[in-house]
Amino acid sequence: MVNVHHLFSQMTSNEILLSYKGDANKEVLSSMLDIIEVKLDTTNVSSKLKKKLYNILVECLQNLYHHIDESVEKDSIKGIIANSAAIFMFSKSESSFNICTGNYIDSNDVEKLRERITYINSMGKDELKAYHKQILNNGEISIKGGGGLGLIDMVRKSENKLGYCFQKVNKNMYFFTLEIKLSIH
Amino acid sequence: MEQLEIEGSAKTPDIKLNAEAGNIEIKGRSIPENSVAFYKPVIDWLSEYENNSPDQTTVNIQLEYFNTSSSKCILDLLKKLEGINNGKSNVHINWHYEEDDEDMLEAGEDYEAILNLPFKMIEIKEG
Repeated sequence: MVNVHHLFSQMTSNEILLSYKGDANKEVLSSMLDIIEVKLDTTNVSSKLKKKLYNILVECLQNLYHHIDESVEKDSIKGIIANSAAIFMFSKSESSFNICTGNYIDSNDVEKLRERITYINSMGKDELKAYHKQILNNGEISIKGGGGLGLIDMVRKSENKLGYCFQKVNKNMYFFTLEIKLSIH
Repeated sequence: MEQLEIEGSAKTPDIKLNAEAGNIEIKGRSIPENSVAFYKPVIDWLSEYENNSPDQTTVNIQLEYFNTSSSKCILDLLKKLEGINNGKSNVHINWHYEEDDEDMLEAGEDYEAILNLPFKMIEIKEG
């Protein structure tokens, strides 16, 4: 099991391109994407890799935005959430780009999400392609997002398994951390 | 039938729908937070187009980026076109992708596999 503190200490040894802690509203999200785009333009990587990265970053940030929205409405301790709704960190090491997000989730959603990530992580490239097509074609369209395509897309584009951890905050809430690594070829 | 034009933004594509000419064009990036709301006018326009379409419909899709929620909406609008292709108008899809953008090519191929519509994959050469 990956530990969130371990993840962060690991990340601080890297070059941090952008980190954010706070409320993840639409405006903040848009500003972060703008900053990321400028940062990526000045980074010396192929346009192919830049595209993959930007795609993954969009999914991560929008995931954060959609899911925070949900838990704020649902959870009783709004105060905590409102002050520190989410974390986001985009960093670079010698061999990879790393994206880490963290947000509070309802404890009732933990098992479902864990199962989903485990399932996606268990699949190979061709299986994921087929699964993606299946969800795209049959999944419910939702106002919130892509109906579960985001995580699949992150794994397909990064060609790495998702790192994750769930830390218990109290009986109603967990802190969920997601890590995506994209190797620099 | 009226034309529909939506000017692109940093998060949404340029959309040009012309019923008289049978031209449908989606170009740019499609990463809105709420893709369903963004694509609703396009889906509505296509519903009307179904009974006002000329013999030929040419669809040009040229996307730089799209998020997963847009991918569902794009499938929805392509399904509408699949229905129109069924006797009402001959629909042709031109799927443009930038040189080396294998992910965008693959996305086009995935749509082609799901749908019963003729796709042409067109590589955009840089410079």
